[in-house]
Amino acid sequence: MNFNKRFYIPIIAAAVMICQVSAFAYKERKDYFAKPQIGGWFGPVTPLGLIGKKVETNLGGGIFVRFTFPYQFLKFGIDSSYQQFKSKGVNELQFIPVYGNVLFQLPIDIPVRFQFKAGAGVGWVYIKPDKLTNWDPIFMAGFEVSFPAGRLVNIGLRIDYIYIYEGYIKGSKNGGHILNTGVQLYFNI
Amino acid sequence: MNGSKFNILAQRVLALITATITMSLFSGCGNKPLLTELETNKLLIIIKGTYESNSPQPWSLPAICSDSACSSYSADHLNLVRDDNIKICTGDNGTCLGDVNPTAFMLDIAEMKLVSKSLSHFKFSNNRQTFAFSLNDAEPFFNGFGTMMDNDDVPADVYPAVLVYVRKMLMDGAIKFVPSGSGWSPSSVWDTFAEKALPSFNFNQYQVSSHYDKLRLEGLYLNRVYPLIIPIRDYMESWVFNKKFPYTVLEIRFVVKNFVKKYEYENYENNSYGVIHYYAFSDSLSDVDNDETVIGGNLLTVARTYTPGFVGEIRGANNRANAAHIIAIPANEDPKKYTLSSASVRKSNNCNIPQMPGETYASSISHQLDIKLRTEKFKVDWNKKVPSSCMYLDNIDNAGKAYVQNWDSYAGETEGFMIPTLAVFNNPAVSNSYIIENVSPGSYDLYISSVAPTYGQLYKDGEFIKYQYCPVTVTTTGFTDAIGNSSSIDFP
Repeated sequence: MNFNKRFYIPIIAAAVMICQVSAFAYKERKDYFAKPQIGGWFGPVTPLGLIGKKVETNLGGGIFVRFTFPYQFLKFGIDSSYQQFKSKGVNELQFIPVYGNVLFQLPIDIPVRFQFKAGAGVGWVYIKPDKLTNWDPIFMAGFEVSFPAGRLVNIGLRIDYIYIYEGYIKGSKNGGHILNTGVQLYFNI
Repeated sequence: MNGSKFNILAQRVLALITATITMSLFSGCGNKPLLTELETNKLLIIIKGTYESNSPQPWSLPAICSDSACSSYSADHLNLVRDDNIKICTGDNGTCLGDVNPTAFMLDIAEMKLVSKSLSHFKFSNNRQTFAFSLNDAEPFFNGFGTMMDNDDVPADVYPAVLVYVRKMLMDGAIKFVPSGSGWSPSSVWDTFAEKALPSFNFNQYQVSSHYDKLRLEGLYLNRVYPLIIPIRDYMESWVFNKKFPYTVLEIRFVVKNFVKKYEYENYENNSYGVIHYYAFSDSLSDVDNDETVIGGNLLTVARTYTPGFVGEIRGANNRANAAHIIAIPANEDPKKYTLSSASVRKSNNCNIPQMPGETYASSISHQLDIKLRTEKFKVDWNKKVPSSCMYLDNIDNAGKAYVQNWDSYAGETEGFMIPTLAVFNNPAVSNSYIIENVSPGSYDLYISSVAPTYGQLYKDGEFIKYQYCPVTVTTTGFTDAIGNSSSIDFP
């Protein structure tokens, strides 16, 4: 019996470990994406609505960081970017949003990650030819598709809608609607 | 990363974001709504086609035919509308019939720019705009209201001039006369406006230079219409654009109304000889001689600005017998800048000598013979004028001096000629009270013309009589003349 116990225990232990290795692997694959992330994005930024008549689409880019909540599919992110909209005439709009947002990842187990996000923050707005600046509150909502490409790198596409709220200022007739689209590259750290 | 550390970090970041939003909300008090500013225009551009800034003279283009059968042209048409540059197809004695009066004026502007004091250009109206105006008093362009243009705002600055890039200016009623067995046979001339073919003629191509430009080296590259440089003559000689005011109006006037004349040039296109009659602006300032195609120097413009709500007016009575123009110019300015020294400054220039016909490639024998005949005629005319009236080449010491001096003084008068920024027309037969509207605060000298305006002609020196109690000071609450009268500026 002693001989059997000693013989079988390593075999059973090895079997358990082999099974557990695959279980560990599954958990690690998810874990990499759930690690804190930092990255950047780049793509066309479009003014919509009334300001879209005054200034034109341009290229913009930004950076962001993300942290995962204890609940695996919920993340918290901070995002910032620089967007400059010019026109053929003298009008120009420069916009630097800084906002926090909450991301919800669709909990389906496929290699591609879909994330919905919503958030709020502030934006620095500068207009020409008036040469005036202001910090305005902003609200955003968006959608992301990400492809984890290994343990470290993720590649994604984003589409965000940002609303610049100026209604609390006396004399304001409308807010700003801006669409950010682009590709992003970010790293799990 | 374990849960508690994350919680602390998340709480701190959320607090930071909330604080920033709250701060921005409070800092927003007293701020301007930038996105609304981006869309609102504080600068309005109004263009008018009249000599007057408000209350213009009604259209008085003479009827072209002397009777309903149109067997001959009317005397008024031949004397006032037909320019003396028409020598081939004159229309005297019922010859060369077929001309019609113009009914529309078309304008094609590529863009407009403002020039600041540091000479940088601002593309504040970077869109092509086309306009078509009927030559009648219902048209806002001609009845004193004006037409608004498309534009963006500019930074608050001092702007001495506006540049208007005029692509085309057309008038309809152009006729081509071709010699045929039964006399001159007329047909319409067609041109393109706003990408459509219309029976019209683009005379802007001949406004690029004037005869005077052709005498100088600068004429090789000078372009009077693209861009058309219009100084903004405000009380302070420049326009200070301040964004504190809700609106500022920039008024640009082209002298078109009652200033349209008929010109002629010969055309040898397509191997067929024809004489073209077309309508353009009167050559009251820069006379156009026969056999000349350039009509530049006759596009008279003036620009001024005012801020609605911060303007006054000048009102009074014209107690004289004749219909007149009443003008207001900055106090102590020389009125001779607004009048001509003679009916034709060019013809009074002793050194206005004939020009040799240019070398052209004739496409037919008759064209070549015409050129030879013109060259001979030029020699005869030249010998008649030189040296009896212009010391040109007879004295080697003075050679060229008199020529340069005479043309310099011609240029001094024609290039320095100005349209008054404020002018109204008054006909005492209708009502003898006049109002000059939208007057920026300042001191003005008022003048009234001693004679009624003649169609197509500018006023001459001495034809303006000064108001006896100048200067008239205008404020936003009223006006006062030099002796304290604040109710009516009357011309006895």
